[in-house]
Amino acid sequence: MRSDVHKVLNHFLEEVDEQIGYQPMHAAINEELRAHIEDKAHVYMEYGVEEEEAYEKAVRDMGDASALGIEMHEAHHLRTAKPLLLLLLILIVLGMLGNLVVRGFSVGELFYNGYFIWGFFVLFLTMMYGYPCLLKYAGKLTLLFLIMSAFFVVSRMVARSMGVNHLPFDMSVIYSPSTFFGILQLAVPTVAILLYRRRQKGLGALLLLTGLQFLFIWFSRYAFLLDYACIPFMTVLFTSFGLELYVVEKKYLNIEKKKGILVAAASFLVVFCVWSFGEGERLSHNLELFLHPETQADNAWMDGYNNVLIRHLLGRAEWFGEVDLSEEEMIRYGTSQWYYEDGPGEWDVNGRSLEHHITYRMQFLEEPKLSDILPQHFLNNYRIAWWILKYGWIPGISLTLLLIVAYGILLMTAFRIRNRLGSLTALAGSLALGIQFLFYLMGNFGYQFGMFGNLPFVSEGLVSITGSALMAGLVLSAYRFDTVVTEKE
Amino acid sequence: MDKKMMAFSTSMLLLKLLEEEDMYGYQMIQTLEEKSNHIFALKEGTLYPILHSLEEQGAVESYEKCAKTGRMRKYYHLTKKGNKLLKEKQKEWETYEKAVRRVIGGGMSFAF
Repeated sequence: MRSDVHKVLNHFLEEVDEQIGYQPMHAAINEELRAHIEDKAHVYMEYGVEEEEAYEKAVRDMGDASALGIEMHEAHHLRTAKPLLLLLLILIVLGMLGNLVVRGFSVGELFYNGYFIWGFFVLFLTMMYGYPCLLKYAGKLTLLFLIMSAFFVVSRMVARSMGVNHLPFDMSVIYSPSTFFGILQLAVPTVAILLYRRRQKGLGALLLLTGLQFLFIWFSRYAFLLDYACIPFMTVLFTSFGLELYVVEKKYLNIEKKKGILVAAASFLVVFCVWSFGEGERLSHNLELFLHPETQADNAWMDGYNNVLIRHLLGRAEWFGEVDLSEEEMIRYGTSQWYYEDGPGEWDVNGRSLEHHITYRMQFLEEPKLSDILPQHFLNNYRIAWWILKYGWIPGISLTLLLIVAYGILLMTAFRIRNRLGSLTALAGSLALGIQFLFYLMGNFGYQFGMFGNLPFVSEGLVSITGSALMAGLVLSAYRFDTVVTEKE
Repeated sequence: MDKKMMAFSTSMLLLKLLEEEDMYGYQMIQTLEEKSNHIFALKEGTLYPILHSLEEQGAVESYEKCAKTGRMRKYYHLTKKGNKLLKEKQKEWETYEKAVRRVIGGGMSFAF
């Protein structure tokens, strides 16, 4: 092609580009328009028109470049899921204010609760840049996550064989079990991207998520974190199952729908059985804790007792305002006498009698308050129950409804994304957060299963709010780039 | 024809073309011209915003494929949603067409 021909074509494309706000989109649009103009110019040349004139005519046939650019900009611009972003911001503010109202608005508390602001910062940054980065580095990130997890496991194994808690190089301060599980959960969207990119391989691609779940089991078993692993593992298990069903239902894979569903269900069952193997006692304990907590309530430090206490107190909550308890009742709840002396509870613990426990607890109950009679980590583990008991059923249910709406919108946003990869990535993030919320919600009504998780964005620590912000940020980011990132990218 | 009506009918025609086979932009313009005996000669620039907005709605999907000439082309494929949209547009068009015929036909019979 001659340089003056280049000039005509490039000038037209530059004029189109000037109107399209999102620069990375220029190349894909230019490529398509260039191919069209070249096709048309070749037709003119076949009819004997000179090359330069043929290109001029072909460019003229395209019409006004600026008008075309403006219309292309309309179809491809970055967008923000404003209602979702606002709801997540409200949840973060509620979480931070909730802590400050109970603990006081001191400078120290404000500083301590700074991780909520950090969480919003991570959410915002992930929304702005997360999805394109994830697409670019999905493979490398998966590898990094697996290496970091393996390093954690190996360091724990070595430490245990040497009879020490931590090795000097295991970075346990920044790499806690929560970080370990957070990283494994973050691997789900990255593996989902790898699955999609290998979709032509059919079943082989579907089994990538199964592989990740086996690694999770293996890692958590050899890192001696089985009690902690329950909720994170269930989150990965159900999120992966949801993603597998989604890719099969949408026919993204090169396999029949029925076969795909069967393989996904079989993989779910196999993973669940492998996980349960050797964990029978722990699982039956969790199930008993969930269904019959009184059988797991030998003393006031047990999760079973917390379940019993919360169920009982919720039965006394008011529609509005704090639960109405006399000072005497407060003391009997605070010392656990209501259950072990006045109720059916049987105190059974080595080394500390009920009388000893009552004496110990009495020192905190001189002027008993609601916060003194609830389980120790009530602000972290029982935020919804706390609202119901402190402010009444109506405010508590309103908070629950707000959370349901937020997680519902999170999920709906994932389904609204047109781009297949974007939708899959967002679904991974929203399912993971939604499943954590469901487990947390059950626990807050006295139906705890396994060890307590977090209520994403409301009741969290630094590590977990970072993980939640990354997951929700990916949903916002996949939505933001939906009309400008093509599948090839 | 006003701009709205033009966009409506053009997107319907494009969806109809894609119902038969996956096509790239230039191919669609040529096919449309051939099938309509050169009545529908689109200003070529108008095609792409319509195609891209149909893609944004999820009515079509695109993929790249290398042509025999070695040139990479962006093909469009009608989705399930696009098929549904086509049926709706066809129905709307038929109602519109019937109404126009009734008015024109009625006017003529009155004249006789």
